[in-house]
Amino acid sequence: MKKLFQNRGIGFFSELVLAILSIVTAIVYAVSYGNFVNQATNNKPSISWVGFVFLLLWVVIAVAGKFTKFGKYTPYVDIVFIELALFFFIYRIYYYVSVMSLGIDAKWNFTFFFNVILFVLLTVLAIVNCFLPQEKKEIKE
Amino acid sequence: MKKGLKNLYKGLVVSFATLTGIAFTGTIIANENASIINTQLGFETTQQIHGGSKSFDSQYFKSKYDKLSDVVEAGKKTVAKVEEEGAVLLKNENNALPLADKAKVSLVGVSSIDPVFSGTGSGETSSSSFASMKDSFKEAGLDVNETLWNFYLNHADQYKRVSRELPSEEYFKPTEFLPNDAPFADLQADGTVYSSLETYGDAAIFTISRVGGEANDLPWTNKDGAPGKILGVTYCNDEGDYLDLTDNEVTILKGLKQMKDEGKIKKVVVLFNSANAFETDFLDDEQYGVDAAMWIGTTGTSGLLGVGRLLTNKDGANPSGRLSDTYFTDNITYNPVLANFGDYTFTNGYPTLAAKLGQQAGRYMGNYAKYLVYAEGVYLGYRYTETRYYDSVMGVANVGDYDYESVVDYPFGYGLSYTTFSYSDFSLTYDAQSDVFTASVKVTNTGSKAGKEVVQFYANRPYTDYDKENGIEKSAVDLVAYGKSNVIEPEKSEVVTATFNGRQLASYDENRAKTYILDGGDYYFTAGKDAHDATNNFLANQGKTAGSGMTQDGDASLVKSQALQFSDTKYAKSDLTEKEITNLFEDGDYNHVKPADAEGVTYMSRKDWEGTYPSNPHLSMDDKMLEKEMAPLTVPQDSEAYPTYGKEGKTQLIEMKQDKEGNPIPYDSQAWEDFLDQLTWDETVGLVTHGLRSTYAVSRIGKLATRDTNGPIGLTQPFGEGVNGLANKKKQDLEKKIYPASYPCAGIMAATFSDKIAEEIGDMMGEEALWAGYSGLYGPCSNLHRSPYEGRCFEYYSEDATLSGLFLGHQVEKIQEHGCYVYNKHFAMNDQETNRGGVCTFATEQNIRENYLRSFEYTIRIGDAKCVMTSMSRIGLTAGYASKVLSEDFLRGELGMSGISVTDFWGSAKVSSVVPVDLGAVIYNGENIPDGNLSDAEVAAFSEAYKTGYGKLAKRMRESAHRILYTVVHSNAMNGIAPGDYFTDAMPSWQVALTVADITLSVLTVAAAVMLVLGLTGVFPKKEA
Repeated sequence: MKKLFQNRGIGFFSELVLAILSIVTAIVYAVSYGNFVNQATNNKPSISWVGFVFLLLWVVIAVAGKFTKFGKYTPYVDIVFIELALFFFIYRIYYYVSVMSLGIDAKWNFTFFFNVILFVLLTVLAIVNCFLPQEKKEIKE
Repeated sequence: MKKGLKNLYKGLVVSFATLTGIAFTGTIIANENASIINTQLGFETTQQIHGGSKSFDSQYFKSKYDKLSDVVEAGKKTVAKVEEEGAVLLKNENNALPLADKAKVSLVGVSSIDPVFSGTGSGETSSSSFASMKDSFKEAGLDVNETLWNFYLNHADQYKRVSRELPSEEYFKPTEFLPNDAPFADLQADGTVYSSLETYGDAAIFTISRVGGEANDLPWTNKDGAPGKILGVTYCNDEGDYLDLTDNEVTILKGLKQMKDEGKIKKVVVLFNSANAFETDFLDDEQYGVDAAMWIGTTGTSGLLGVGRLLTNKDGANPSGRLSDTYFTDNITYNPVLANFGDYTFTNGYPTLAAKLGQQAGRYMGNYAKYLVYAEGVYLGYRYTETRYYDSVMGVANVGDYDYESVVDYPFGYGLSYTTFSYSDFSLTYDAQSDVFTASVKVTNTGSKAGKEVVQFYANRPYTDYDKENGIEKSAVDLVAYGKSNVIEPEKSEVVTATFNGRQLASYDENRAKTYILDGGDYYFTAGKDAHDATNNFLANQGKTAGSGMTQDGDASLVKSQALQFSDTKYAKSDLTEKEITNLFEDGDYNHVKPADAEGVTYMSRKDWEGTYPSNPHLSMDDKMLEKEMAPLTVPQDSEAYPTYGKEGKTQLIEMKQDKEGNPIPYDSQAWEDFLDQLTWDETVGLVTHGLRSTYAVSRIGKLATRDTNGPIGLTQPFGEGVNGLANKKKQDLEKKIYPASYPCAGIMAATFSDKIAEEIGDMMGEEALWAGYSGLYGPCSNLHRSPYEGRCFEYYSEDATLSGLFLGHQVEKIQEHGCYVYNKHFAMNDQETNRGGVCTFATEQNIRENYLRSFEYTIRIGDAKCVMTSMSRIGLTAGYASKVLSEDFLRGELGMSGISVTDFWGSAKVSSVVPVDLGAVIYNGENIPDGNLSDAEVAAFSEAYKTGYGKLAKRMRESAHRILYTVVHSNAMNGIAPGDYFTDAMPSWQVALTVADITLSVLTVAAAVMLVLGLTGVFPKKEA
């Protein structure tokens, strides 16, 4: 374990935070929207299971990657999967947004905003993470 | 690779990759909704190939104007004229009005600088060019107090109407709603302002404004003193009645009265700037000293110009409007409707539908547990006030304690003039062959100013033993026709004539004959100045006088009679379609559907006014009712054959307009069947799944998308936005900032009592439709003023279905002459905004037919109104958008309406958020299109679901397609398309742009990634040795 954390740069730890946030986002996303049927027949938003899987898949890949020589490239994998998850989230939710924006007597709810905030935070952090050094020797360069 | 360069490439890769992802996601979403985007933003997806004769004139509907500026000017003039003929002079003591030329006047009240031009909601018209009160009155020759005007301008934020904060207004902006006028003490505190009131003291003109709109009924207090429906609203006064004076307004009136007593000002004039009937009893209260008062409604673009002209009698402008509603002294106490207007929830546990159904609570879901009972029965407005008065004078039993003058401030049809008129030589003839009555009366100007007079013709039908035995209610007085004179000079006369049909005298017998019957007996007719005047004439004819308890003597010489035989067959069939008329709306009566152990509803009856005066009945529900209401609307499967699809043929829609001889091709012709056979299944699906303010394009058969949008008191979209409009074609209003006219509220329109004005409005709106590219208009509205607190009073015409329907019929006829089909709305019984998304509305069939469907009926009879928009509310337990009896049996079966039936706004929870409403089921039950567009995924699902096994639905879909195509081919949407023309597909520019963006960003992403990799591997730039 000690070896795992040896010589790790700030990017490594931010990636750790990212992973935790991604897992939290996935759980919140599934709990929020996992129960509803296909939004084609109901105006309630439904989950993109592909996006949900991407939120978790990159964590697995990143963790595995840390044990290989390609560990320092995992941030790029992170951002690809996170952004893909974001786009699938947008794709599934846009109809709900249009109905709420234009609908008569429509009411926004906290769940929607909470999910949006999590996804945006995740994406921004993933982008920043790409620029943070993964290893301490990188800093010295 | 240097760190800086590495980070640069990293940044570029991340940025381009993110942008590429956004672009691709956006492209997918946009392409899924391509049809909506193209329709709403006016992108062409087709190219027209002119194959026809070049000399063929394909402008089927032409404008009489050459320039947009002329249209705008004409619109303003029309609005001013409507206001001039519709504003109602309520009081005018000591010849307070008209004001002298150059009179020095003070415009009192913050509403002077901020009058209400329109109601709010989807029908709200733009205020980009409204004439101000100051400018309008100056143009009329008045000298306006600038000091006071500037005081209000400088304190606008402090005294502006207060927004109310309600969830329902997230979509429809709150608009300044609650009056918050400057108290008189604030005017007094400013010495300059106070003294200016005296300087400009020829008249103080105090404007009282109120606002209503879609989704927003006005607050009131119910009889028990509990707050009205709108929660969290700061009420205007302690009683919470929005249509009564606020405390600040009281101080203003008292302050002005004091100044008048001190000789500082000469007159106090009140203007009621509201579509809703204000409680005007204070006008006669000496403590306020009001000399004159006028109801001006909401005034539209330039209505205040008309008001100014009336105030000064400029060019002979003389008030000739007559009230389109009864003004009660106190609605809460005396208006029987108010016992059942607002928010009512079924008892016995059903309010917790959320728990019962296990679904998330929401506004529409809550409405499923809501009800409304029209317990007043047929006795709405003057039908109540005059009938009970009539029975009271006639000494009928069970009238109860009824003092007319305590109940009514101003009767229906009331209005003063600057001159006076007398009536004589009333005559009535009846042609039994055509079943038409002709009534006429000689009107003489007995005053000193020229003016117009409205003559109202009323009928007094016999209330017979048959009626009493069979539960038929009958008003003692019914408006049957009206006429407006030309300008009559002093001492001159004019004969005013009007006709009406014998069918108008029939009553609906829902219990015994189950159809329309004509009672046998003597029918009396009169010419009256208002409903009360008419009632007094009928009473005088019965030998009654002021000594018998009448408010004043009537004129029996103005009454004629006609004896008619009883018949339960004469009107038992529709004269429009020959269909037998029988009960359709039994389930609309709670007493037919209630739980077995529940107490029923007692509707108000003339047999016992006192015993049946309405109260709220506290209705309950049972599982059977809930099941009926909540059953998911599904389409039953069947084994019927599907219609023919995709038959070989090259007929274009334009060829279905008329045959080779130039005659219209009838709707029910083989030619239409052959044409419809050309449609593919996908094209049919497309037509019935896309209706958001448009109809779907099927370019292969020459059907372009149309623009069908709001609103009832004026077109709400700028001219330049209509791609097919003349403004766009002539490249005028390229900035899309010039709006069509905003008309005065519908009540003022109706108050003109003039078919000529109705036609002028219709003609002007039709012209505007041509210039704004409208082929369909969501409006006008045929719902009634059931209550003065109704939010959409500004869009509805009157409490009286006959006035509403007759006026509308003429207006609609003219609109449609310009190739713009109307969607008369909201069909039906959408007479309050509270809980409109699903409230169960209960009424007797007689009431439904004789009041709430009557205006729709006349609009079709007289104006051939092509289309309707259905309501979201329910008649009984069935929603307006899913009622076969309403849409099929009544609308098509009895009235023969040929055009489209569209739902109300579909996108919001698809009209119903509890029951997953299926569009197929809605169409199956009589609708043609939703007011919404299904996404491509939803369309695919719809198509797949109903491709086989639903032959009856398929036939309904074909019928919907037929109605859409038939309506559109006879509209201005075909302008510019000649026989021989056809269309090919064209990719709209936005799709091209998106594709280019996707490719470009992808290339940039790849390029940046390649540069990053090359850099990291030291290939480029080469690693330094």
